[in-house]
Amino acid sequence: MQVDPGEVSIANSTIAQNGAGVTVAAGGAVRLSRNAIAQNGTGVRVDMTSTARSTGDNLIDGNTVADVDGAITPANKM
Amino acid sequence: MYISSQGGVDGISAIADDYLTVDHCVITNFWDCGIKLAPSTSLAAAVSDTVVQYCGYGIYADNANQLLLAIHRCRIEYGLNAGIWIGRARGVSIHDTTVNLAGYGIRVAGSAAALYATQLAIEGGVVSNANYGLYVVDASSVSVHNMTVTSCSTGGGDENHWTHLYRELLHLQQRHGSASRSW
Repeated sequence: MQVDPGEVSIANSTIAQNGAGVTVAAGGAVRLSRNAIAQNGTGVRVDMTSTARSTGDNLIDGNTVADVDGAITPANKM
Repeated sequence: MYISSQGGVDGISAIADDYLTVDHCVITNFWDCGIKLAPSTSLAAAVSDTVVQYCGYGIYADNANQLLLAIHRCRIEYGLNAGIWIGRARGVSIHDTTVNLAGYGIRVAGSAAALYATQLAIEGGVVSNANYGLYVVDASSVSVHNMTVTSCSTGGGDENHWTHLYRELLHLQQRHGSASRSW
């Protein structure tokens, strides 16, 4: 998935075995909750102009280049 | 209904404001769009239980005014440019729909100059073997739930995969009689 830019919320989804899992660029914004992001090249890539927020309950593991490249900040879970 | 290109550009094209329902159809081998929803005035459309294959764009939707669209239980495959292309549209939902083998699986491209930001909700479904699984640009707001994206290269992440996919799609379109076009 690529957000370049735009605003995307992703929940309960599987993103696996892709060249890149979730890429956020050019001021894009993504929110992640309860997803499995695995076996991609890079799991989640966030450039300096973009934001990624997570509720902290995603499985991001087993991505071959990196699980996370960039900053992911906590999202509100209420 | 089975709709196959006999030299036509688009399978179904909405050109005026109205309501459009496409249900239980197979649409195949169109050079440009299997279903084109780009009228000059407002449109509400629903596409369900339909197969769109071997087209440049499986479903293409873009409207400067107001476009409401629901895509339900469809299978879209071998879309040389995109399986589903959403441009300016206010309320779009995609439910339990599969897109396989496409340049863009689902591309959402809003416009800051449009009357409304493009809004899309995706529930369920699979996108596989595309260059970009889900690609969102510009004034677009998308929510995704219970979706699977797999075996996509997502941009320059895997050039070899992309080259292989391009050749495979081109071969399939030529074999099925559709003209090729640029990406």
